[in-house]
Amino acid sequence: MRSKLFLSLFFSLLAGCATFKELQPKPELSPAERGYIELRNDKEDFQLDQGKQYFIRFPRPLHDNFDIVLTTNAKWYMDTYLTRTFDDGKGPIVRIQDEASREDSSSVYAVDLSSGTYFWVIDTVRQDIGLHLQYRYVPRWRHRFENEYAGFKQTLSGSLVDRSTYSSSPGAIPIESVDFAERLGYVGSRTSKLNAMNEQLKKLADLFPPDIAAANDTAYRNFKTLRAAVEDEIQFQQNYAAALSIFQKEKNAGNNTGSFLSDALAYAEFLRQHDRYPALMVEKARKTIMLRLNDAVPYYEQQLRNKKDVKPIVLDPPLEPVQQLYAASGRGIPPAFEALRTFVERFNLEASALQAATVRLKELHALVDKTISPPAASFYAGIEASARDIRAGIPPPQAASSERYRGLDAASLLALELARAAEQADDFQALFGSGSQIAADITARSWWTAESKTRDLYVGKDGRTFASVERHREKLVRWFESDIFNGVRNATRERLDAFVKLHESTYTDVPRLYADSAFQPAYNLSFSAAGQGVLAQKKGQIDEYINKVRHFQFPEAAIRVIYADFTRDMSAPDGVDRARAVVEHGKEYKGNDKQLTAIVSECDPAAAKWIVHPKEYRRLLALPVTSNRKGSNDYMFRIRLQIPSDAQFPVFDVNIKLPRELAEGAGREQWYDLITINNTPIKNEGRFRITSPTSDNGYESQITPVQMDKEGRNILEVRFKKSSYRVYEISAMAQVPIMKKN
Amino acid sequence: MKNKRLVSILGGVGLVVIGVVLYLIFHRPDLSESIVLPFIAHQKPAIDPHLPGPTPLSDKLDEVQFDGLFDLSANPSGIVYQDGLGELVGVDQDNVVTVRLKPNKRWSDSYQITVKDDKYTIAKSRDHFFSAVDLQFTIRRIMTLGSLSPDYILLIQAMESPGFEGPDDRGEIRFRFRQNRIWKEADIKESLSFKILPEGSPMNALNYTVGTAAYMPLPPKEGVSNYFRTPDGGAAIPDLILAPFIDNSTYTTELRNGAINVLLESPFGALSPVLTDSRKFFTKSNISTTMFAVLFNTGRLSRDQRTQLRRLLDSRLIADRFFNVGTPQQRHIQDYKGNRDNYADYVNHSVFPTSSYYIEEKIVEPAPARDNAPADLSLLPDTVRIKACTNFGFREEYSELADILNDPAVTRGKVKVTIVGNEEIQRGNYDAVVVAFTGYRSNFLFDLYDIFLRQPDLVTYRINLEVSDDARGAQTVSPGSFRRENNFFGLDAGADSPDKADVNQFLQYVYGFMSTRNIGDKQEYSRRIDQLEHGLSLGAWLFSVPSLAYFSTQFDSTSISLYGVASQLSTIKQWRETPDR
Repeated sequence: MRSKLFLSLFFSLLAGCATFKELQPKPELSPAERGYIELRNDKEDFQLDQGKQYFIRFPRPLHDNFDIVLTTNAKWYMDTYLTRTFDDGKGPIVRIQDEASREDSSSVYAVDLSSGTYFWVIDTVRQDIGLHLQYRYVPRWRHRFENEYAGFKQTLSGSLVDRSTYSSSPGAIPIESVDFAERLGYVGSRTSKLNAMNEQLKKLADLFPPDIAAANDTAYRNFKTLRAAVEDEIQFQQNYAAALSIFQKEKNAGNNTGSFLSDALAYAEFLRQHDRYPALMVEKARKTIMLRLNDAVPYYEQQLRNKKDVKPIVLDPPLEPVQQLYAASGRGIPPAFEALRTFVERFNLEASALQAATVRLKELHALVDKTISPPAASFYAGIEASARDIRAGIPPPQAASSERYRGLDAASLLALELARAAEQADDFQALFGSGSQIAADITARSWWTAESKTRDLYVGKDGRTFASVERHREKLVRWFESDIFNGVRNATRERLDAFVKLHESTYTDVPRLYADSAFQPAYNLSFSAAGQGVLAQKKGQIDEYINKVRHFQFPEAAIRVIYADFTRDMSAPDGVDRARAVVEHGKEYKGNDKQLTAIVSECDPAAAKWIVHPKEYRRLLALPVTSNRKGSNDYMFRIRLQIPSDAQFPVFDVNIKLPRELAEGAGREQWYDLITINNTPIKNEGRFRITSPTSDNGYESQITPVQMDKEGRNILEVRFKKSSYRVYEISAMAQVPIMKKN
Repeated sequence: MKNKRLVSILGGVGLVVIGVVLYLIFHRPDLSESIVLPFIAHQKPAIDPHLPGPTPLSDKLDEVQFDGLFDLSANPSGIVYQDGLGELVGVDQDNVVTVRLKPNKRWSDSYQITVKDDKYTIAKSRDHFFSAVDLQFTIRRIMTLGSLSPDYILLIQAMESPGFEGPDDRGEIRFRFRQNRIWKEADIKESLSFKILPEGSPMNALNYTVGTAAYMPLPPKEGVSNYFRTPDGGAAIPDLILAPFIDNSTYTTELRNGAINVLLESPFGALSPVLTDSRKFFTKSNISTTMFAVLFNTGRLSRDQRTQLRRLLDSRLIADRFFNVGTPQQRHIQDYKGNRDNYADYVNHSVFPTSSYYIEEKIVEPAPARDNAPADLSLLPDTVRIKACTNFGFREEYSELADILNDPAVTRGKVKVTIVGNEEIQRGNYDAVVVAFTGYRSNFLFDLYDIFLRQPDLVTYRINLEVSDDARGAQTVSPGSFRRENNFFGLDAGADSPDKADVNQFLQYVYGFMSTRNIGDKQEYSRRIDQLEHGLSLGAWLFSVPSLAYFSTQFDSTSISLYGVASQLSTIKQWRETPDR
């Protein structure tokens, strides 16, 4: 019980703390359309305290497009607004515009059904007042129309124009005698007022409820009557102004046929709408216009005679409005005008076509001209197609055949230009048709066919000169030469590069690799428009690449790959073959890579291995020089002594450390067949001494004394036989000998 | 009747023939298990392992009798070194060479040999083992001999101070080798291949008989020992017999007849027409070791005369005549390279033979290129008297040469060659003398002492080298090395003559050449010697003769390796008889 009491007190306190106080009229407010109703608080006005804030809930109207009209004597003491939502002044508040804000005693708010309740908020009370307020729910159209009706009627009456001249009433001023400018200004100002009023009426009409027509509403009836009168006057004034304007134009044209004809469209329109105007006035206008039209054809033909170019004829004014004027006049088009129109139409068709063709031919020229490097194959086909299209678009020169106008300069010139354009298009088509074929041959790598056709193009086979596109022919020949050359070169390169990639690790029959057709040009070029010198130069470029691959790239790559395989296991069954492959590649190699040269030398038993430092062992390989894979082979290695020495006659011991496999039988049988120095055999029976390799001396044989010719080649060659087919690693060292007794 | 007489005669002849055949068969010497070498009876071998011998055989026998620490041998692939009195342990980074001595090696005097009815009995005597003191003695002797001994050069080029440390308790000794090279096994063993004499041997003896090698000398007969393999020597063939002959003219016949089975040098160095049966004989060719020269007596002939005489003696012409080139009697030759009848290769144009290192490698330019002018005979004496002695080997060759030089077609009547006894030579009673130089080496160690310092005495081999210490204590050659009477050329460094300066210079060069351990010096000296000799015109260096050895097929040819400058008998221990004979 206590808690309930507490809560009641709490909420009462809270209520007492609200900012805006709601005024709740009694009786409750009604949205019905009933005229003004006083807003009362139990038969009294609400008392508003200065500085306090209030609001009153207004129900929504019964229909859309209603106004809530509030009248009060206290408007000056309050700041008020109507809003759709209200929460004690919190949150955003969207005020509905007070359409009578400038009035001291009333406010008008447009309301509709979209809100259930409207809140009239008294935001400020400047002094304590009693709120005497009337409210009214009223359809908006009615509220507005009722307020504007008198003004509408006054505007209409003030805007009426006399209709006697327009109607050719007896005694009225004939229209052709009217001061057109003054009269048009007079009529125009009134028409403007009426149009403005009519716009207001149209807006009011939009506010009508659907069932208004059925209701016997006085205001509605007044509205309809007023609007019909307004629209009738507007129509009249517009027709009158149009007629005035026609006669004014004709008068203003004076003797200037061009000026007259320039308004042909207006005249035609006037005559076409003859039903809008009084018949007498229409007939008067027709006669005047037709009389002036007799000057039209001569006027235009003078323009044709003055024309000296092949651009489309642009007559001033254009023929079309005049033609329409003829039609509107109901008299038909005269033959002379028809002949003129037909000629102009044909001329312009041809001229336009010529212009288009010329533009496109120029574009083709420009396209070819700006293309400075050999284009893709589609380029030729594209230009051929364009040329064909251009040619199809060039009409036969019929304009020049016109009986009436054949003597015109423009017509003759046009015929000539059309013929030229046609020839160019034909030449383009033929040239680039051939080009397209050659390009296709090049794409298909049919080098002989492509080159033959290029040669034909150059020498002008079948008598075709391509005179109109001569410079393009020369260019195409150059391009195709270039394309064929590049194609052959690239094909050669691709084939060669692929060959190299495929065979860089091949170590059998290496000479055959170098004899492969891959080392020939993909096609042997035989033509150049620039002469044999250039042809030779191009062939030289291809050969240069081939030679580059043959003598540099291929042997370089192959030597590295094969040598890497070789060194992984020199004693492998194919070690000899790999070493020989390296040597064969080395025969082709012409580079100066010292590492490669050293590799080749290392693998080549015929290449003497340099010994340039005394007392330093160097490795060398003994390889078979015969190829008996399952039996005995002859082996060889060579050493070249080139040791810097101050001595005039340097002399050395050469110590050769042999693998055990080679030397272990040396005690039973001479391990070598022949040892020579500069091709002179060295024999133990002579003054030389060759020690036998034994296990005691680590299988090292000493050959001494070996004289070194400081200026010459000092080649020590050792040959031996071994029942094997493999590579042996040997070490050799040279040093100054000692003198030996034995 | 007549028929009976004829039958009787024929029968008698037949019996005689059969008798002769039977005599030859049953009296043919049995040379099995023997190596029989011929020698000139009055040129007895003198064995000194450290000095060049007076005869070719002398040097060869060094190998038979003595061991070095390491011994030169050979196999089919070339030279090998076998352990002799040492075993190579190793060489360290400081080039200290360690050799383990073989203390169990006995000197040959550990055996007592008795002779009874030409049969030898070998019995054990007091053991005389090899030791380091023997090595020490040997090194000391070699150093004393100096440049007279090739071993001296080997030692001083290997070691700053030849000698060794040790032995330690493992019997190892250490040699400190020079730091100037990588000492390979072959170089070390070569340097230590000098033959070792037992300590206590005389420093100078005519013959050294006690060795450790495969063969030991038997008691001499008529001053010459045969050899028998030592019990622990390891030789395959027990006997090495030296067979005396008057001269070399019958050598080939003796070989054919089976009186000898090895002929180390064929007469004229030529293939013998009587030894063509390859089933019975095989040959081994070798580099030349013998050359013939005409040495000019500077006491008799002036320099101009010597120059003209040299021009007169056309070596090529004389060589062709010597080998009867182009005649039915042509002496065919074959060298170790397989070349045949390449006579021009043997013609010499310098004191250095054409086959020698110095000519072959063009260290010395051959003479003909600088002197091919015709001889001015007016400068020569009416007769140039040349002497030759045929009693000390090469009888046939000397006689042939005498005939050739006496032929006016060769010497234009200006030369008279006379065969004389050794006394004439000793007295220097000649304008020039024909001399055969044997056993020369074609390697760096070509022996100029043998040519220029040799006593002109074919009986006694003597090299007249006198050295003294200069102010800095360095050894230098004394002018006394050249005295008129102590060399074939009559060179006298002390005599006043226009050639005196050149002669002294020449002596210096010869000594320098022979005593240096530096190859570059050797080369330079060789050029200077050649040039100065050419200027002095000391001789006409006619030609060399091929070295061709014949062997009976009693021996297995594959067991015999005769390699170049290596002594022909260095592999004798390996020689074997052909098994199926």
